[in-house]
Amino acid sequence: MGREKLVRSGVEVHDDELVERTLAGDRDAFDMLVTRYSRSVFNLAGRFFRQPEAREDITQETFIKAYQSLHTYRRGASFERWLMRITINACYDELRRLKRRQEFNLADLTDDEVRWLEDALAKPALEKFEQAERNEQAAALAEKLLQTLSPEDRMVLLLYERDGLSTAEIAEITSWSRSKVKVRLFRARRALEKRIRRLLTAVESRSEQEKR
Amino acid sequence: MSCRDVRKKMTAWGARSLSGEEARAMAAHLSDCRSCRRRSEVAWLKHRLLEATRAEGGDLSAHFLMQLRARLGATAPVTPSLWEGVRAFGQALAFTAVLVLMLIVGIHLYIRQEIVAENTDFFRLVAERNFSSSEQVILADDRDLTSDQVLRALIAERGQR
Repeated sequence: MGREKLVRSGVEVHDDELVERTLAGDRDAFDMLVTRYSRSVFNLAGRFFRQPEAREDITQETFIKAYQSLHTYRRGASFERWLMRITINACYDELRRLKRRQEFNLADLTDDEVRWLEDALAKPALEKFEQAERNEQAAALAEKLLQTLSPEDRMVLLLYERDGLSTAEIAEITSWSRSKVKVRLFRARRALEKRIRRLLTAVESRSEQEKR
Repeated sequence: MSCRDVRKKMTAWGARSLSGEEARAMAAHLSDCRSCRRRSEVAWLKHRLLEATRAEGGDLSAHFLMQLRARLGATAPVTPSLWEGVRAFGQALAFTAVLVLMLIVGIHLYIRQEIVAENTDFFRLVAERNFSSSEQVILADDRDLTSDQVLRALIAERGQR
């Protein structure tokens, strides 16, 4: 039952009841749904967007879409799952809206990002980077690399490689077939590894030139 | 540890989640194998970069609900009436009917065009051809035609030449 019911003034209010009340014009009922699920939507948007502003925009878009298409929600189904699908679609739309980079070269990196890469190559022990995890250079570099992938590839890669979701779970939340998820994952991994390899080669040859 | 074993464990190595013994065997192999070393560097960087994309904390602003209310305005959620449902169904039905009709007409035109072209070629070839006397006997569509008659026609034709 968990999140599907909320105790308010000693009375449990089910999601379906809140949906019915919203459809009947009760705005407070929709506010209760927003209060109940806004955090989950915000967190899910955080899987694809780092900035809180972007995540909040996605959250707003999600609830607006949910409000406008509330009549399509099938009573008895999980409202949270229905809402999560809308969130994923909103994230996907936003990723599609972002301009995609065609190519990616060393010249596109800032000095800090190049230094981060050089350090990553120069320190085989790598413990230094474990401590300095989630630094801004790495995040900016990752963003540039991910921008070269298609929105679908990017979503699948993050959900599988970083968040540890299975292909079946990704298929469920994206409403794609499992074979599509697998194909996308294969392409995305190969594309990202190819770009990283190319970057490493460029950084190495630059370092060698500087030594000479 | 072979290159194959190493490559199977590359993702775990990149995520630094191998056990002590496995990690030592892996490190020993990587120090000797340049190709696997490059793969391990790529795996590690991929892991690090993807980890860096995680959103750090953050929360909805205090005005979130107020802003959402303002964006929704005074409008009520969409509740389609029966008439709207019927109208949408009718539109979908009409659209499907037009598509099917176009498909049928298209297929019909295509087949007709193919047959006409084939017929034209066939009749033109037939008209241009001078049939020999034996061929005329065969093509006469005589139900009582026997093999002896065909043979006789062929012999006669040969005699004429």
